Amino acid sequence: MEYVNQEGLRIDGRRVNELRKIQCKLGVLKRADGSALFEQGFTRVLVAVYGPREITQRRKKLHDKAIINVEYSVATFSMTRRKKTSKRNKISQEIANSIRKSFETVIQLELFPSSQIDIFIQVLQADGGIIPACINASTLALIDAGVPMTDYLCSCSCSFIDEENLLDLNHLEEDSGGAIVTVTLLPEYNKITLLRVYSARIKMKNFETILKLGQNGCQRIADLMKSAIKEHTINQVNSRGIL
Amino acid sequence: MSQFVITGQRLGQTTQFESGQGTYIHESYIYSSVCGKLILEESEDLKKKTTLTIQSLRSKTSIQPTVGDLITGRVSRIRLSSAQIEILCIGDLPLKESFSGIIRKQDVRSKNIDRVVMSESYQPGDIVRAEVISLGESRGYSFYLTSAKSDLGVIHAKSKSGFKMKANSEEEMVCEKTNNIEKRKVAILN
Repeated sequence: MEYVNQEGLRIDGRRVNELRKIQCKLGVLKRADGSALFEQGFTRVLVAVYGPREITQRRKKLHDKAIINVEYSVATFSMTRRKKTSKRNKISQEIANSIRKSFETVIQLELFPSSQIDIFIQVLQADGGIIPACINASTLALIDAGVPMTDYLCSCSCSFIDEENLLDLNHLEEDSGGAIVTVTLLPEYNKITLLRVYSARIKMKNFETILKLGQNGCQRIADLMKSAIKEHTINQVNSRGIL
Repeated sequence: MSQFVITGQRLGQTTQFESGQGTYIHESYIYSSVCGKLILEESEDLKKKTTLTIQSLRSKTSIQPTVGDLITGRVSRIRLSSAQIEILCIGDLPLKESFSGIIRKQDVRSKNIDRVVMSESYQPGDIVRAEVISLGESRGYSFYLTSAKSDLGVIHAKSKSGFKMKANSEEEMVCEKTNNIEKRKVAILN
C-alpha cells in the first residue's frame, strides 16, 4: 500500500504535515462536573470528569494532595470489527496509568488534600491516534470542570513511513508497521511530559525531526483547543448573564 | 469591562502583581490556572501590590470541612458507639456532594458522657448541627464531629409516626400530631 503518493498526498488526501479536522465540544454531559467530546478526524473520544470530591478508595488517600483516578474504556463498536475489551485488562490499565501520570504533572493536586479527581475516558470511534485524542479530550473536560491546572496537555502522533515524516496518523497508517511516536506536550513551556514509541524501532537520525514535527503538531492542537475553550467560556458567560 | 481569562494565560509579572486564588507563579510570571473572571484587588496598603484573583465560572469550589467548621448533616445510621452523619452544608453553604462524618458516643454531649445511649440521642433521618473536631482516618468516614455544646445537636426530626417533632427541652422532643415524647440530643438555638 502506498502511504504517500507521488504528489505528496496521503491515503485520506492530506499532506504529510497536515492535522486531521479537529472538533471540540465542552460541557456535553450535564451530570458530570466536566465533560468534553473530542474529534480528530474520525477518532472520537468522550471524557467525563468528576471532582475534586471525597475520596472513595480510602487506601490510596493522601493527606496532602488529591489522587487522580483514570478509567480508560473502548466501546465495542468503536473499531472496524466488534471487539469487547475489558477495562481491567493490562493494556487498558497501562494506558490509564500513563494518562494519570501525565496529568499529575499539570493538575494542582496540593489544593485538594484527601480528595480524588475521576477521569472517565470512553473511546467512541477509533481511527488512529486514540491515546492522543484521549489526552486532549481529558484536558478539555478538566478545564470544563474548573480543575486548576498549570497548563494544557496536548498530544498527537507521528511516524516515519515511506521515507516521509507523517503527522497525525489514522489507523491504516498506524497498522503500516512503521514506528509510532506519540508526543504529549505542555504548550506554554514547550515541554514534553509523555513520549511513547511503539510498533517498531526508529532510527536515531530520524528521531529528532519526527519529535519536532510532533511538537509542532501539538502546538497547533493547543491553539485549536484554546479557541474552543474561549468560545465555550463566552457562551457560558452570556448564558448566565455575567459581565 | 471585566476580563475573562482561560487556563494557562499569562496575566502579569510578579514585580507588579501578587498571585491570588486561581493563579500560580512560574519563573516570575503569573499565570491563570482556571477559566473565569479576572479580578484585580487593590491593596489598602499602598506599598503592597495588587492581587490578581480568578473567579472560576464553576460554582463548585474546592471547599471541604475544616476543624472548627459548623456543619449541618443528616444521620444516616446509628450504632451503639457512634452515629454516622452525611454532611450536607458547611456553615450556610450547601454542598453539591456530601461528605461523611461520625459523632462518637463520647462527643454527643458534655455531661455524663459514659452513660450516653445512642438511640436516645440520635435516630436515622434526623437533621443535626455539629462541629468538626478532627479529620478522620482511612476508614469509612472523613471527619470526626461533636455535638457537645448546647447549640449543637438535633435541629429537625420526625417521630416514629412520621410527623414533625418540636423541641421540648435539651433531651426531649414532642411529636406535633400524636404528642408522643421521644428522646434526642436537642440543639437549643436562640
